[in-house]
Amino acid sequence: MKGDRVPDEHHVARYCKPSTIDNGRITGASFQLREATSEYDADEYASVYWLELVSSSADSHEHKLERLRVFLRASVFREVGMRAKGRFGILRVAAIADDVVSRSSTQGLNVRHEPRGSPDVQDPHSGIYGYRFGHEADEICARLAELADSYLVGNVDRPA
Amino acid sequence: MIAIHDATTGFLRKTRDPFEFTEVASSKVIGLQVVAPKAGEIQASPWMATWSLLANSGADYVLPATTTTPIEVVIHGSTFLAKENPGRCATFSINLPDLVFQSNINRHVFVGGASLSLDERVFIENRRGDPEFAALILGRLSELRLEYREEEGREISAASVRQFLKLLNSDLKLRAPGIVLSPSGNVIAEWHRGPGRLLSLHFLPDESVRFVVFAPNRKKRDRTIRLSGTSDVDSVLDDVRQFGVMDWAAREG
Repeated sequence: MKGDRVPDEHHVARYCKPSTIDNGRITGASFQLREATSEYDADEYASVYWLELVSSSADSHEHKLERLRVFLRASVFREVGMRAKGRFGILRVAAIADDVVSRSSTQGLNVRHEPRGSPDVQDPHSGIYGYRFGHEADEICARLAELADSYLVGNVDRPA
Repeated sequence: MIAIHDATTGFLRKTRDPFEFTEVASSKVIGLQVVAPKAGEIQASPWMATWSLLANSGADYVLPATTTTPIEVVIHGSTFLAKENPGRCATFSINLPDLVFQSNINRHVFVGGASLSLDERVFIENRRGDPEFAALILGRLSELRLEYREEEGREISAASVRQFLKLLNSDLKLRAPGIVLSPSGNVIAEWHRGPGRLLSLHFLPDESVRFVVFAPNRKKRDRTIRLSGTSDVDSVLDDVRQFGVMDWAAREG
């Protein structure tokens, strides 16, 4: 259900744009939120995909990502335009909650399920909550990047 | 396709990639020749994308390498600047549309860009003793401009770039950082050496700089200090130096 906490032992994948990657290394910029502009509202959370919702928890990261690619290719939702040379940063939810300290938020970081559209369609879209903007957010993002395992996005193009 | 033309000997080399220049004998007169590529031939490389603007020009430009003062030649509406350093290393700064490339294999380094701003020109000038550094930084910025246009359909923040170059000009001992962009198109420079050693500087258009430091605790080496704050270009290096970040952000010596 929308707003449910993603279990600690599960994993989420963040799409990291090429402009946020330094020589293959995911950086804090990969986790930073968009600030509001005249064209769109500020991000409330960092969008991620809940991997165990599209794969088995026993699967390897590579297999989980392959299942995510299958989902993205067939997704009925409006996904962010992903580029093959971008990267997925995979994080264990417990690491996000336990290892990344938010000094200004008493709640700390948490990961919640954010399905889009009908509840009948299983959607792994989720969000990392607990930071917004400013230097502390930059620090949190840098720590998330340090903890993330990095994988090339590869082909997620939808069939023509 | 680019060729280096030695007008003294008539030596002419061609290469498909400016990063793959091969060694050539030093010469007294060096020129740059743009060899007309077939339409679209070089479009695959973002660094080369706008060479097609010069396609079919077939021009051949010869510069006296012994000059000690910058000379300026206008080529097809672009600027071609040449300057020679003492010794064997000739350094040319070339301003052609959206082109930044470098070659130090044959002791010649070219730095250029379509829309080289005044800040970038000052940066090149300040780094004239280390043109490879300038080429590396401006080349990465050029690459990021293309990435960001493709991702966001917008331009990266010129004010942020200005602050970033100002910082690099303020301390010539800094190593070349990794450079990435924030979602708003601001420059973030990172000096990184494995987990637990990070200096990240986020250059905001309002001239403030957000910093993030991950550094070993000097008393308990198995612990990591993590902190962040906001400063400005003139002060930020002094603000973070106390945490030992120059151990990996600055060159030795």
